Amino acid sequence: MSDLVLGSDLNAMVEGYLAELAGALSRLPTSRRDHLVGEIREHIVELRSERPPRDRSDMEALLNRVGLPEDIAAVALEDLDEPPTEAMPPVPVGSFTRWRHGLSNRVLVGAATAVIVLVVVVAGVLASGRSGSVSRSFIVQPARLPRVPGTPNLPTSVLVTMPNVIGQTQAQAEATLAAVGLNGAIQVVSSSTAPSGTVLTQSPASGSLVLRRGTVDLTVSSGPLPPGTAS
Amino acid sequence: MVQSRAPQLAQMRKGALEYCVLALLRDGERYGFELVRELSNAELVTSEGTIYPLLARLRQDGAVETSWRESTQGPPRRYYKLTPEGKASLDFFSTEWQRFCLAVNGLLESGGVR
Repeated sequence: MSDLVLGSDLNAMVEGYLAELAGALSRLPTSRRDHLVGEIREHIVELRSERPPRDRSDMEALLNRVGLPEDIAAVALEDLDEPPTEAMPPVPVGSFTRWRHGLSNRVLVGAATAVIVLVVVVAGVLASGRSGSVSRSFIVQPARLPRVPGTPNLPTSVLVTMPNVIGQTQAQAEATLAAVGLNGAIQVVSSSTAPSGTVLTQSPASGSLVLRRGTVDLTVSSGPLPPGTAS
Repeated sequence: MVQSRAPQLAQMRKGALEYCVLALLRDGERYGFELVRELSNAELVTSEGTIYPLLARLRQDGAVETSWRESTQGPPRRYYKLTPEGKASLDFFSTEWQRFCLAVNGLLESGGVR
């Protein structure tokens, strides 16, 4: 094959590639499509001048390096497929794609995403690690935290405030605790003052911050000891 | 984009990639081919052509601006330059990224405090 014939053959390969790219970009506005195809064309010119392809397979390798037209189009069309920047959709946890939006949004969303990711990670470690450091406090994004399966009405914060259950019956106390996502570990003790079945003491005290799904200690009265029984 | 089995990882790469482009422009303007070459050498992209839509987006966002320059060899080249807005965006990302990496690395290494 003469140089002239080879040259036009390789040029035809490039034109075919660019035509395919333009086709894949048909959904883009004309000016953006022409611009992008022009840039890819320049890129190919640069690659060819750097290491001129000697035959068709060299040219094929070069075009492979530039990438499949549909892959390039997929990146270019992302903008069209995303919702408008003004109406910010909720940021999916762990997704970095929203950083692609307009600059000012990008900065805010980037920060928000980082914070949410970190909060979720930290919260997960705290919740699963049973660290017991219930007094630790940090900002929680309730909506981002996973709900407990089967308990749709539970609050979704990681830390909950310990309610006061002293004086309630054991059943009432357990319901009160369950409503905020806590379990009670019951110890039964005798008491001459509290009616049988009512809560005498609780630990931690009401108002303390407790890890949700944690267990708190309650003592429940069994009533006064029968007369004559040694204490 | 380097292929990855984990879609989240691909998303992270993608999100970080445009800041890598901005970082390449921090010390002065470069033309498209040069940018792509750097990213390709760093194994951040495999399909070189996919950088151009990203450059177009950065330009649309106002993070970079372009100008044509005559070249000693071949056709004129489109040079990319960081705008003040792009610089601010890059600085912000750099800080957040360091913080993020430290936090993630800490947890990956220690598994958290028990």
